[in-house]
Amino acid sequence: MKTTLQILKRTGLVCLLLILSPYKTVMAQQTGALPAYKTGVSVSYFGDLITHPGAVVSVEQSILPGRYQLVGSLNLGGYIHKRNHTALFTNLQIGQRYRFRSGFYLEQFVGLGYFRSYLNGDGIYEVSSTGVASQAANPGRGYVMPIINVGAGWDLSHRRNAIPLRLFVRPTLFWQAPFNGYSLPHLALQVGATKLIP
Amino acid sequence: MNLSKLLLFLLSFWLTSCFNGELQTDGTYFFLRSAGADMPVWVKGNTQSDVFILFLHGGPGGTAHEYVKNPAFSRLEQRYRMVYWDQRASGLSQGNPLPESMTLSQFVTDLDKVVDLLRSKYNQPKIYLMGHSWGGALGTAYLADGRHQAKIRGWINVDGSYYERGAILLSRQFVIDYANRAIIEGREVAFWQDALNWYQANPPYTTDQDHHYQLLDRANGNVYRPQADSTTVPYVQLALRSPFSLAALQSSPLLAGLRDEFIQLDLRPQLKTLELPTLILWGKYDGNEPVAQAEELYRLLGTPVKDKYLTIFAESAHSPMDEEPFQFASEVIRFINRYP
Repeated sequence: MKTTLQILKRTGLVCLLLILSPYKTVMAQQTGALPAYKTGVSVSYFGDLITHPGAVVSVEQSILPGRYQLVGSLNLGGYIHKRNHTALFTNLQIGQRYRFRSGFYLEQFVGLGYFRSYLNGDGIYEVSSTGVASQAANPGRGYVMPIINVGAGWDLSHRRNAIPLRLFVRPTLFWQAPFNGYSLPHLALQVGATKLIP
Repeated sequence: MNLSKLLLFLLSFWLTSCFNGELQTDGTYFFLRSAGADMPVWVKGNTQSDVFILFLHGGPGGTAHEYVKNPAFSRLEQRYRMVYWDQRASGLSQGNPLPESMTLSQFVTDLDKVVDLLRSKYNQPKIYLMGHSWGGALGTAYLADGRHQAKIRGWINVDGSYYERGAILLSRQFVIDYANRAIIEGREVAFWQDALNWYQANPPYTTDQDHHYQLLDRANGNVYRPQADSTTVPYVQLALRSPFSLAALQSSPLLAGLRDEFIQLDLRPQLKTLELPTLILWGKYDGNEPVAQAEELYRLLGTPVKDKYLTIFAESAHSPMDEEPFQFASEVIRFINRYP
């Protein structure tokens, strides 16, 4: 059990190091001929443990548009894990993206947000000291949400019949903290599209 | 691919995920809120039955959810209703309970609330407690109060703890005996000689015993037949289509205090206050709670001889419901039939 947590923490650390790594080498490969879309609006499927369904809407802004991009994004989403919890979350992320000539691109993001979790089940009960059971409210609990994701996709905006669209798949790791005295890791998958706006 | 086709693809992917698996629809799944913890209680099985078997998982810090596909419990579910409850800061329990609430006394209070909730929600069902390992200690501590015994029809103790310091001594001896046999038989001689040296250098209670529990695994003290199919838990199915989350694989640091209390626990004086019908189920090769514990438990129980039963499973270690599921289920059914 400890090993799983250590591996997850190590994965997060590696992603952070990559995010913070020097990008001068990549910048040298920038070309000026590519379309310069600075803003994007994304809609994506968000599956906690892949299959617990939800959605994320994002707005992103390229700080450094071109083949190599520095990106900031604001995300709003939620999902339903039946018989566990229903989640709503918002977070801010920064990331970097590198697009190859073919349109294929790789990206990675790191961020921090707010996560609200509501119990999902067939009821919540309290029992008094005299043994009387009654239904309880479900106001939800708030958590801090560190998040890391890596992604890959296709940028359709610079082909001959250019479509201002990006398709992406993003394996995501985020944490729900504090949870029973520790940070609960979640693995998720995002699959979606970004509409590009000049 | 145009935009509408893409959106259609995403929508179909989303809808596919919305289909629930059997573990997301089977039975009734609710939460008990108590002292900062939101603990899941899953009632599943034969809805016509008024017999409820409330399972107390091991640990502290285990989860009852990993037993929902267990062949022994599936068989019991055909006749009765199984109740899978995850204790505070354990398994799939949620909330943020305070470290001060991690006491045996609070766990007993939680258990009493689960029992009262079942009695209220299901119109006074016949409740049998089944405690495994640490769950055996929890059940014993709960039943030591006569008012609690009055709510319970029978007690099924599965390789359950009641005197952990004694169990630790027997557990160490279990590995030492295994090591000596292995050396005589010429199996992994160097490894087991190192193990014997470690035991000599590290007396009980004086050092971190993690290494002992690693050796116990190697000596098949937890699982007698590690290759047996029945011991596997379908984690992929649980992860993709059930209430299961990664929380079930975590160990909460909040439980450290309870673990210390558990190691000091000596419930032998309370055993004579237990007078309800009791079935003791134990693995012959249990290295965690060696079988001598079962014999002492049977002797110390206050239950009249005609109402207490001890069954030793010849091919099991710590979890006979995993290793001999069909015999396990048969023993439980026979017991419940005796005390309907």
